[in-house]
Amino acid sequence: MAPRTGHARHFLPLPPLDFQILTLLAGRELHGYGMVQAAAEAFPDQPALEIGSLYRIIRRLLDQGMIREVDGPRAEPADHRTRRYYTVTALGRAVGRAEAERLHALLDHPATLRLLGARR
Amino acid sequence: MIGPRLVALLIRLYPASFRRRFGEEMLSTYLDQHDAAPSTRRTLATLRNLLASLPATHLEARRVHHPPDLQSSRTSPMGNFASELRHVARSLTKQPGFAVVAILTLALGIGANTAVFSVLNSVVLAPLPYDQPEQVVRLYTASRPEPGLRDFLTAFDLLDVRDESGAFSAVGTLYTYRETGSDLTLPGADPRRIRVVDVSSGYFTALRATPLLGRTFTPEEEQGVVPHVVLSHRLWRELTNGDPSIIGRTIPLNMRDCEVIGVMRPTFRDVAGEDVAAWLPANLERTGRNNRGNHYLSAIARLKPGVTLAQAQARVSAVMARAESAFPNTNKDRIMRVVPLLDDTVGESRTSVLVLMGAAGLVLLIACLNVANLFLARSLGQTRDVAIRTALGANRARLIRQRLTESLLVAAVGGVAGSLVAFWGVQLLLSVSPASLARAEEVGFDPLLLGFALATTVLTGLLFGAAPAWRASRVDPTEVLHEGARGNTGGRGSRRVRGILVAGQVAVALVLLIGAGVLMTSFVALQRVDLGIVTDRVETFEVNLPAARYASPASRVQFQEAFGRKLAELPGIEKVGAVSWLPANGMYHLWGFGYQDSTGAPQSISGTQTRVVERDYFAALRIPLIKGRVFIPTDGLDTNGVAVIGAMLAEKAYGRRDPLGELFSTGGRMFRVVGVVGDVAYQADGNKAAMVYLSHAQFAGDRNWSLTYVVRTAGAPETVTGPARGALATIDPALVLYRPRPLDDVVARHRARQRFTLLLMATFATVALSLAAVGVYGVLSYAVTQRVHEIGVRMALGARPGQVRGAVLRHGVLIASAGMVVGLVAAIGLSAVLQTLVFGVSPRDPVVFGMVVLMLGAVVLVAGYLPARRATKVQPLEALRGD
Repeated sequence: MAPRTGHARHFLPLPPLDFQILTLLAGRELHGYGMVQAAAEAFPDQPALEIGSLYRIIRRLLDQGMIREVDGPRAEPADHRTRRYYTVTALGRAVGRAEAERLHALLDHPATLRLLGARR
Repeated sequence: MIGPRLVALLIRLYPASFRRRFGEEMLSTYLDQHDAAPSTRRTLATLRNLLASLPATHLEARRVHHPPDLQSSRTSPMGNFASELRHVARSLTKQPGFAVVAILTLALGIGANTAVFSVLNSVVLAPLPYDQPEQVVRLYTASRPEPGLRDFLTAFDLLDVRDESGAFSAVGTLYTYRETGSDLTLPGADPRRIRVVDVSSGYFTALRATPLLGRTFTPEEEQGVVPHVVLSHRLWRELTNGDPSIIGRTIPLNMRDCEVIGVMRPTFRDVAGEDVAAWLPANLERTGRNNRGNHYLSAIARLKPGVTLAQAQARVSAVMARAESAFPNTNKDRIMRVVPLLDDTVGESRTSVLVLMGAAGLVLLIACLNVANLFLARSLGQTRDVAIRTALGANRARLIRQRLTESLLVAAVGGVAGSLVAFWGVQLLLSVSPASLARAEEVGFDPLLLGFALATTVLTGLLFGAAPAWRASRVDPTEVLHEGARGNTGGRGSRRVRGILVAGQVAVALVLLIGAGVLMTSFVALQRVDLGIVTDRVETFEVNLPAARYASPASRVQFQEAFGRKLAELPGIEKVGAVSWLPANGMYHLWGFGYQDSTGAPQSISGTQTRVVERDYFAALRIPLIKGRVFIPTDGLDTNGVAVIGAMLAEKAYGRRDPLGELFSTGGRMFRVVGVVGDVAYQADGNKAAMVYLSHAQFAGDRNWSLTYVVRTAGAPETVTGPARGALATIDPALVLYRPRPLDDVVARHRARQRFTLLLMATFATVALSLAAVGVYGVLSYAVTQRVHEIGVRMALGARPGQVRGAVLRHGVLIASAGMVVGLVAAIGLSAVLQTLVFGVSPRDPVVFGMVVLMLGAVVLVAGYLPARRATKVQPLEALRGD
């Protein structure tokens, strides 16, 4: 029962970390530590993703239907740690795209450009 | 390592609903991160972030709608249990290996145990069906040189003890010397033989058995031959369909009209067996065949209230001592023993029964060890899970309850399967050996025993399942999680416990296998024993000549001669003979043997077994003639007495002298030795004794010998029964051809108990072996799983598959050897128990011990090889990626 993507705009604006996680999960499946690693790779300058925030966001995204839990890869390590894997839903993808467009429009706005130019 | 602990602590501060969804995952993610790059700075950042996110998460938790929680405590207790049961069932079916092995173990352990204990319980432990059975005893005579003997009493012994000892409220006799029967010849019906026991007036009184109709015997009826009969309930129903007017009517028994004076109750069971159909009054007259030398009566008595067994024994001994001084000729060295009836009924099977009980107990022990091991393994597998969940605030009681539910579910299924096994087991035991066990007819399936076996195994499961769960719930989660990083779940201690459990199984299995091995060797030796006769292709049957119709010795001799000739003429019959008591069928007619030694001085040998034979007895059984001749038709009633003796007696009495022509006395008459034949076993285990053979044609005057025919056949022995019956009818249509059976069966019946014991022991040993194999396999498989990481590292570093396999196998061999050493010591210690049960083999037979060790070793190796081979299949890369 896929939520209608037309609702995507209702979720805007997205909190920045929510958006970041949606982008990390777009097109792949990651577990918690995988997201932490991927974030560190993708945004090395940013502060590391911490579990307190991370799972608050995961909970929120799950409840909003933007991500979902998926089965992990077969070759699970034989320890007993809990590693749940997540990926974006159609809704999540739509919301992420909408947020990206929104941010794009925001960044392309003359006022933003003025701000960037001023800093230069 | 304070970081993970603080992280776990802070996670506990999060809202319960959130914690349950993400708590474990958060901690795992943190630990993954921490393992990759341990850093205090990062930990501090994590802690700060956890604190910072805390209020927001709490606020959101109130707003956010979350789906109904299965674990919510708001559901009803029953719903809770049902959902838990579902949960547990799901988790069990996810790992069917554990459930299947556990249930099979329970089914085998519980089933085998309950079946055997049901049988043994009914045979040994259940009270006898008499009022205050502990007061009922049997009396046996014995001699000072052989106090263990269970010889019969004379009528005088019985009367002396009854009238003079003052120890008993009642003393009665039953005539069980031979399996007596009477021919019942009702008009319009085929004659048939029924089992009849001669009893005295005190018999029913001693058993406190009252008749349903009429009365039982009075002391007056013990004087002479009185034609009165008491019927069993069954015979009464068969004869008259339950007509009470039978009292006072007569029935033709042995062609003599007997007046029915009573009918016993349906619940009354004769001491001699279920199939006794009627009772006749025993003749205790102090004349005739009753004398102080004629031992032929069994006796039963009831102790007076307050008189102990020891007191009764003392008073009986005093009576016997007086008789000894008054009648030294007959009573020298004669003593009497008082034996509780229960001991007597179970008698010889007692040792085998106790051994089997012990074996059944050991199987249950193995099952318990196996179940303990399985549950322990499962528990350890979940230790980490439990530890984390507890650390994150899961309800400890709930975790333990879940484990209890799991144990109960497995136990319930195992119990159902076990009852089926037990039910079939009892049927099987009874079908295998209905005749060899005393009181087999009373055996039933005992639910109480099932409960006991079930409770034992379930308690074991709970103990070993719940205890680790409980302990795990108190363990520091971070420690457990870090153990994981070293690939060592379960911990050294618990691995040792499992090793010990399996070693215990191996030890117990070894004891059982050795027991079975010794019994099997003994049984094989028994089969090979030389009885002194050739038993195959020999049919046997009895023909009883009713005293009323065949009163004179001449008429009996004439009948046997005519019948023997008719039989010999039948096609398919090679040799025809008859004997008063079959070989390998127990002691019979132990008479004195009076002879002269080389100096002419009179000597005597007591307890020589006497057999009266007819026609070609020796040829029919292929008993070899060593010297002289066998009986010939001219050895008749009117000629001087001649006898054939066994080689053992010839040696014992005459040594190197030629026994032929020597005169001796037995049974009150003189006989001349005309032949010596090979010794014949009187017991199925091959025991031979001094034996005297007399000719029926000459000795028919002594009594009405009820002869058993032995017929050597050309084909299958059973095929001659019909023609033989026809031959009998042409001579006397009112006679019964009784109990036709091949001689092989007669001998086998006496070996049935050994076969039964062996069969059960072999079953137990097989179950034990399988369970031990499962145990070894389980422990090694588990160890391999646990050591995947280590094995992966080794293989990555260049270890060859052979080395890896060797390492795993060594572990198994170490455990098994420890178990075998303990088992060997125990088996040697217990071997004394088997001493009385085995024949022709030492209970410490080194060959048996060696074979069993080899076999168990081979099974352990196979059970260990499978996990070892799997270990070599570990992919180093995958194993290493694990952490």
